[in-house]
Amino acid sequence: MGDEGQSEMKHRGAILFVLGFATAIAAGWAGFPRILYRTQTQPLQFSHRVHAGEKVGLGCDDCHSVTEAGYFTGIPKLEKCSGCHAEPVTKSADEKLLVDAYVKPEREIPWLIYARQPQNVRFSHAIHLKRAKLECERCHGQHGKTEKLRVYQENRISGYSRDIWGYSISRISLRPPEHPSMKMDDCTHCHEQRGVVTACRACHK
Amino acid sequence: MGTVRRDFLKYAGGLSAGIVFTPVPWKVLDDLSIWTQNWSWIPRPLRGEITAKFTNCTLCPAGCGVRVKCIAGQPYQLAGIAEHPVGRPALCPAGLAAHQLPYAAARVTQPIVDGKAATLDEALAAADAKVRTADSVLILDGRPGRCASGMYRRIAAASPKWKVAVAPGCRGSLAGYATLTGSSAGVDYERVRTVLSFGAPVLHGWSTPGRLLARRSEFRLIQVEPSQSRTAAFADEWLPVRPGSEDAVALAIASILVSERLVPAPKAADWETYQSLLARMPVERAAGLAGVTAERLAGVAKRFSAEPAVALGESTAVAGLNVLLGDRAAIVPRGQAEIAELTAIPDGSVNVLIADVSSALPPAMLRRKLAPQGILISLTAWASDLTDIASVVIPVPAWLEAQEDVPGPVDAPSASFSLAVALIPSRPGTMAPADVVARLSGSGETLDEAIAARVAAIHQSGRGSLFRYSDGSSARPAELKEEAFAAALAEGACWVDEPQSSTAPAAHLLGGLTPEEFLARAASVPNGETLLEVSAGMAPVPMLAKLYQESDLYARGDVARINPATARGCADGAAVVLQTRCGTGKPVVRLDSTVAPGLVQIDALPPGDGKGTAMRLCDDLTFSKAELRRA
Repeated sequence: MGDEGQSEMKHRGAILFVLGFATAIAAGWAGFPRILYRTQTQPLQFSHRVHAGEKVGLGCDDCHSVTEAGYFTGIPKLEKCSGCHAEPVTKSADEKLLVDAYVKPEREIPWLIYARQPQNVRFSHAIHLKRAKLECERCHGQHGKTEKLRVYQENRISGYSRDIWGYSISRISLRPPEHPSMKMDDCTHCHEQRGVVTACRACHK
Repeated sequence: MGTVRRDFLKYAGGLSAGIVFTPVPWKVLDDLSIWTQNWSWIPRPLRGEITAKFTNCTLCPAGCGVRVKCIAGQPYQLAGIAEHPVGRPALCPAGLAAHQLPYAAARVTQPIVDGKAATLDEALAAADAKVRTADSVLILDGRPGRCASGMYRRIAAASPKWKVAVAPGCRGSLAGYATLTGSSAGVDYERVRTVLSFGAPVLHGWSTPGRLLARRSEFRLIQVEPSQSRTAAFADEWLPVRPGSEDAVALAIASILVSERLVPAPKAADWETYQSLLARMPVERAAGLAGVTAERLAGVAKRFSAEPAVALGESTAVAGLNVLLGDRAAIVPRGQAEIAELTAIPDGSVNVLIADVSSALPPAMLRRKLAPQGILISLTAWASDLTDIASVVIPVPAWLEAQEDVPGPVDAPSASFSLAVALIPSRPGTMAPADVVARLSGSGETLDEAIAARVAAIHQSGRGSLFRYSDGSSARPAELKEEAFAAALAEGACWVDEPQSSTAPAAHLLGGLTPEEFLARAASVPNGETLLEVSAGMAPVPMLAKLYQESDLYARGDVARINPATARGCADGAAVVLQTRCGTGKPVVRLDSTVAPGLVQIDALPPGDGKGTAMRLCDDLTFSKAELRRA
């Protein structure tokens, strides 16, 4: 092989290396999240904007409240919905589904919970809301103002919602409340900022 | 030119290099670690309502208040109670993980009769048959001061066949003071400036941890101990002495206090005899026995006598120092003490020994008391060497499984009363020890009745105050109806008596011994012999692995810790033969310079099944003569 052939080989190798590098970058940043998360839709749609806005006028704590005993009620039970929706009050297809599929048969709605934490952790909403005076948005973002429930993205490996890691796969641009995340790092970061205990047993069961 | 292998390698190299600059490796690693937490066979905490309940710990005589966080009714986290009037807001490592103990490997879950598994009814019937035909039955009380202890005393008072004795080592480090004065006592940490401890585990297991730590910077701790225990390591001054010379050191300090008139003449009936005894143990002789200088002992004596102080140690020679200090002793007498110890029971006089004991004891100590055909009935939640030699083993509920009362902490200045609340169901086949004894004796009294009677008596007395953990409020008993008082206690509240008079009670400095006996005990210091010492070791607390080396949690053979200077050629990790008059063991050597030269230390309760050779080899809770050789 002459000099020309050797030079061509060298260039060809560099191009292939760069091509492989670029493929990996593209696949890692763009393709990987699509493969990692499987999407699921909620059993029915719900508009926080309608319920918490002027139309209905509910406050967040009308449905997601802390009881007198200090325990967070979480996602409301069906009875909360059926108090107003024993029969459809609008022409919404989702409301009809709510009444027919859940309220009338008295079947709890199998909501997919965006913020569900692993079972080795305990989290007290009461302490964070009442003592630390945190806003709901600090962890849950603008969820309370959404028109529709987002598609639920489940991590195929860990089994948890994408909301825990956050929607930025690099976690670089995550800034609450617009882009919150709920990894342990986020908890400890906030605790450190506020001088709150970060011992393992403070949160882990 | 066609595609060649080199092209694939270049492309793969580019892929590999590129992938490092994407989130893939880090995200996959993170997700995989979470995935491993969700394997189906890994036990997971329940989901459910989070509640906080309150109870009191019975694992040691400190009796700390405990806040129990439960999910769906199952305890998952324990913490101290910030407002607790006696213990302050702290739990020891064992207490923090005590909710795991009912499931520990060393748990006794099966009644046993003559080495074979039995039902509870069969075990009770077998025990009943043994007791019925016995002339002498001894109840060994491992935790005096409980309502159960009162039941035992009433049974013994009703029939000469029954006797009660307190198990060795369970009366705390002021036991000697109780022997000299007849009064139990607590330490006045609010006043003390010097704590002179003779081997008491002041910083690693003796008293209420929060109360002690809150005052730690206010007092000077002088630890007199052969080995550099954890307390010795953190003491302000460690006085390493020869094993067995502690009484001689105490007498030498007493001698300096008296001869230099650093203390007033105490209220003791045998004061003159004691003075003549001190003259027979000159400071130089004691210093020679202990292997320290007389000047150092003089310095300790002066620091001890300068300000309010307390001497901690089980022996009467050590307790005598507190008597000598008089009103300067930072001790609060708490009233009549239970002082009937096992040593007071004649050897070979017991037909049936019922051991209500949870801690490890040398079987030889109990065997000595048994008649030739005598048998042992063990009432325990934990496997130990006693369960191995017992003819009948009856499992008892573990902490959190049944209601029982908690006597006041051993070092508390005031009496107190609280209940350990049943928060999880007790295992089938278990029975409270007091109820077993009541059934065997035919007394007809139950533990619940005894607790109810004690609660009613406290309420009627109107003394002290009731502290409720749930809302941090205090109330005098008279402000509550009896039902409300009992209900609050049943939810974990704590009653604390009013402070007692701090006047030093009259004492007998020799504790009933003759001067010759007292002196012989102090002067009997082993010289140049190998001695076996059983250390408290660590309880098998499986979920606190971060506080220990993980390897320490696995069941393994016994480890004998010896000083490199007296290793006699044994290398670290070598198998050795350890022989005492009670038997032979084959531990593995661990060279440890914190152990006193000449001592062989073995944990009383090694991890795993709770059984080791230490207890089988020693015949006392102090030092036992031993012979160590290479296997």
